[in-house]
Amino acid sequence: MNSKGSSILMMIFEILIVLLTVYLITSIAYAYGSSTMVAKVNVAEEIRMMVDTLVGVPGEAIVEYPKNVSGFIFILDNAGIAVLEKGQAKNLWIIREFNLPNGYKTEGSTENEARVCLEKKEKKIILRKC
Amino acid sequence: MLTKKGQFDVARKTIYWMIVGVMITLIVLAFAFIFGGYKSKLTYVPGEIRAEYITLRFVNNEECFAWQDASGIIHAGVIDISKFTDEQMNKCYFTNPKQGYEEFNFGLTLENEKKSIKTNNYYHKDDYTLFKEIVVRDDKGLIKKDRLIIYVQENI
Repeated sequence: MNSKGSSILMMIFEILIVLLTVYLITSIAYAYGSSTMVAKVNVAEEIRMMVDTLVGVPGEAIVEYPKNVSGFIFILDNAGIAVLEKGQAKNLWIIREFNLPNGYKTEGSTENEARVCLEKKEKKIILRKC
Repeated sequence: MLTKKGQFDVARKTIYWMIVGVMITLIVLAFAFIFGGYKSKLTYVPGEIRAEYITLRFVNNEECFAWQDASGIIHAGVIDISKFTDEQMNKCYFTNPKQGYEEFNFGLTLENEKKSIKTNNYYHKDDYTLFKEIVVRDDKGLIKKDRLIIYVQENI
């Protein structure tokens, strides 16, 4: 191969490498941008704090989560809160644990409800549709 | 067979592409790392806020130290000194005996009573301290003003 042919081949190869790099960086950015992971983590953290607060409130109380959460499924049990999307693999669930006083129970689940509430009744905290 | 110049060209291009390969890998990794850090910032919750919410139970919940009178009324902000024990603390807030040191743990001191208790995985590695103005009801039924000092150990 002469030197002119070699340099054209090299230029094509370099352009391909640049395009591949741009594609990789754009796909990383797109994956982060379109991911609901941040929203799920924030919702899970906030619900955990709401449970901690309800445990620290004497008597009965009801509180509504102040954002639209229609894209998520919530599962609340004594171990913690799980936030997920429909059909999502378990390794993508966001789980936040909490410690309850003796005798306290947490339960409830909602699926794609826009508004969810946490209700404290005696020693039980229930997650439900508002 | 390659000439000397041809051999030099091949070696030069190989070194060039090795360096370019490393640089591109570093750029992509740095990009992913920057996004990861950004995500952490977006989801960060200051420990003090969580600790503040968890510790509400110590003074307001009858399963912790809040005084509950004979009629069943819970007096928020009033600590029953007879309940202020490590056994009661384990009923109120108990972390996993093996991994619980990674969670919030607390050391509680009643300033005037000079009485201290702690959670099961508290090892005096305090990250910060919270204070609550409270009232203590002693064994004789006397009410005294006090201050609850809460030493917070976020994790070890």
